[in-house]
Amino acid sequence: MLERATVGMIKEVGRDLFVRGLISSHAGNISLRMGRTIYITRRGSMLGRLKESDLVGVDIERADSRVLMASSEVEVHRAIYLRTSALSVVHAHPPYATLLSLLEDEIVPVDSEGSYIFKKIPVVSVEKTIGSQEASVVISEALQEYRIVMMRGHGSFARGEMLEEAYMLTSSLEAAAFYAYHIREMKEYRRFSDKYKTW
Amino acid sequence: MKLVTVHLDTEEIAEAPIDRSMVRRFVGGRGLTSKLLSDWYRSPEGSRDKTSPLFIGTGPLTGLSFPMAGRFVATAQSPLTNTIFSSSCGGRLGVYLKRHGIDVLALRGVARKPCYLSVQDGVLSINGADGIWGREKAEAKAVLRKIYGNGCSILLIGKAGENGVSYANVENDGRFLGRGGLGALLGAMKVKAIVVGYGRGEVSGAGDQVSFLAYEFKKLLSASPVTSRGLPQFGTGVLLNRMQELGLLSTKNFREGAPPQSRRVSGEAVASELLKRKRACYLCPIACGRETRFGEGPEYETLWSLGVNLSIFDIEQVAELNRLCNGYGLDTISTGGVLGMACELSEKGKLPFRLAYGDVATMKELIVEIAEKRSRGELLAMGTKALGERVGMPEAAIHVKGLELPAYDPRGAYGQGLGYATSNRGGCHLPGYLIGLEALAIPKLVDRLGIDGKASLLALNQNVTAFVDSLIVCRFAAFAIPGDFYSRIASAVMGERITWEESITIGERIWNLERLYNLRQGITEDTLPERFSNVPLAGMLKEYYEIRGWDSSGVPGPDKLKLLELSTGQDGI
Repeated sequence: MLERATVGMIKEVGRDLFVRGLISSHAGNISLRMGRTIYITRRGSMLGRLKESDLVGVDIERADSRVLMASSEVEVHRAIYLRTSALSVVHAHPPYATLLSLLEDEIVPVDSEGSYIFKKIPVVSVEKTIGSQEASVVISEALQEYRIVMMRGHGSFARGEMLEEAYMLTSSLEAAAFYAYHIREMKEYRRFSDKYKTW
Repeated sequence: MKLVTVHLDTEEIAEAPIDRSMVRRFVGGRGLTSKLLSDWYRSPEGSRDKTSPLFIGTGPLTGLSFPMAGRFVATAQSPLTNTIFSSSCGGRLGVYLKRHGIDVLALRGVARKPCYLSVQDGVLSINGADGIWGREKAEAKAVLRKIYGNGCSILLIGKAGENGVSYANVENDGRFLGRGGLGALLGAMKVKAIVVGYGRGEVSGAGDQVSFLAYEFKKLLSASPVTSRGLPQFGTGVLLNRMQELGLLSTKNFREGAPPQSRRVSGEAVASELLKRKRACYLCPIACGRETRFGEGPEYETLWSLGVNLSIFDIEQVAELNRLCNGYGLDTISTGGVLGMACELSEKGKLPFRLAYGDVATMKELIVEIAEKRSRGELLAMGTKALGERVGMPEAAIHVKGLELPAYDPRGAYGQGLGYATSNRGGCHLPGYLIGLEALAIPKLVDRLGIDGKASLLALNQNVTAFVDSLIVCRFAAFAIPGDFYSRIASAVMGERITWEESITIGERIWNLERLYNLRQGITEDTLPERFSNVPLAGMLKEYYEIRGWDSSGVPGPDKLKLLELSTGQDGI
């Protein structure tokens, strides 16, 4: 049983993801880890209109019937929690970041905030992008080194200590991607150090 | 990397290389010295040492041009808590040792007569301490400076350490190995001081990538109001008003909330009434240290322990008590804890003398008597846990595992309470420091009176700080630097890739190693003082053991040890 404040926090983040345009009506998913339990949003739930019954508690590793109701990305979330120290995960479909992920192998922010927060964001690519074993492997591997990763043409996975942190990373990624995408048309602009590519 | 061992009883000095694989697993600083202690000091029986060895360890960044990293750690079994105990200090000793090619300095055994160690031009010597043993610290420093010059770094103990006060501290260049009674351990070894010359050797590890990371590190420090304004302007005392406003500050031995006049002993009061100049540790852009008309400090913890806690709201009187503790070599948190408890015991007729909150004159006398372990001070020199047992009132002893609690009341921040209960060195705020999340919004604010997920957050933060203490970067950097940054620093300076996740695993390995050491010592309880019974510890503890992969009594199982490459034979119980 989650505390009321925890449920409220998940609902607010879900709502914000939708309002900010980082997901479509039934896309994206959110989870938290507490001990060996993962609380993840229900499969097909609307993150912008979450209810307490839309949160499903599953074991971090052991399969059980509750997985029936969990998000289709539950295996990716499990892999992240098993292979990293993340305590929260936000998966979203930020439009500009997704667009850039189709054009680039990594996203290097050109704006100040993006540069401070990320330095760079890796882009990973697999054939089966949703909930697959191969997606679980590459995403969880990237999140061993980075706080957020883009799955090419699909969306972002952010890890945080707290949910708010994972949401902040998702939101900041999209802002950074907006600038980076539009500036591609400009011939000359002031760049940050190439050192960020070594991050 | 080089380990130099001084056998104090035989006056033998031995050098040995440190195994590369051990460095990969434990990095340096806290991790490496904890591993060495765990290997060397298995039990009092069968050991030729009469006391625990003491290790002074540097980290891979020590001596490089990297901000907030010119520190060192000391690790031993604490005379106060009997736990494994690592303490970090911002004095220059580590940097100078490193320039002499010494990565870890180990002291073993007990000297036949009082001595001090010196390291000059690469030569380590053991010298008689006739002219400095039993002398005031200031006098001892003057004698040593006359011999070795003003440019040397001096680590030394005061009379409290010489006399074996269980919470005696160690000073190095005006900074302190404050907690856990490491001064008493040096005193038992009959080591008054360690003097290290400037050193001319080059420290390896610098490079283009390290410079880039140092630059980015400083950028983040200057972007944070905590590290660019709050701490530089007001020192650590900047925390006091915030904690008081949140109800996280208590008075009278944790029996009442701190009153509004606590503001009179805040960081702002130090800045406006006492400050002579700001003091920075080696290559630190923050400079949170305060040099006042009364010497070093007082810092935040002391403003509480010797001020608010004792109902003393006169900033000059608090500074004077702090000056006395520094001069005699006493940990100010534990001293304040003991005095606060003594006032309560006196109220209840449990002491053979009178002491009241706010009675500064008697407290000054008592600090001297504690340090000299005489008269009334003999009883108080044993620390709160032993004192509570002696007078039959353990409930007035506010400690965890024998270490007096610092300036954050756990009843106002449940995660911090769990942090005290589970800390490997006892009642300390530093391992995990959930106050960052619960009171300071670093990196984000959580409900400080909620328990959902707190245990998992705490375990993660304990692991991260264990890694940072091994890389040896000041804890205050965490106010501005995200966790993944440290693995990139480690990769650059150690010359091999350490992913963010690996860095957390290294921290977890160190945490478990320390846990195993304590279990071996028979220290098993993860509890809080009875006074904090309203902190919902049981639920958090269950989640804590679960996420750590320990059994229901808090013992790491074989699977966890295998995962962390800790062998039961070498590291286990």
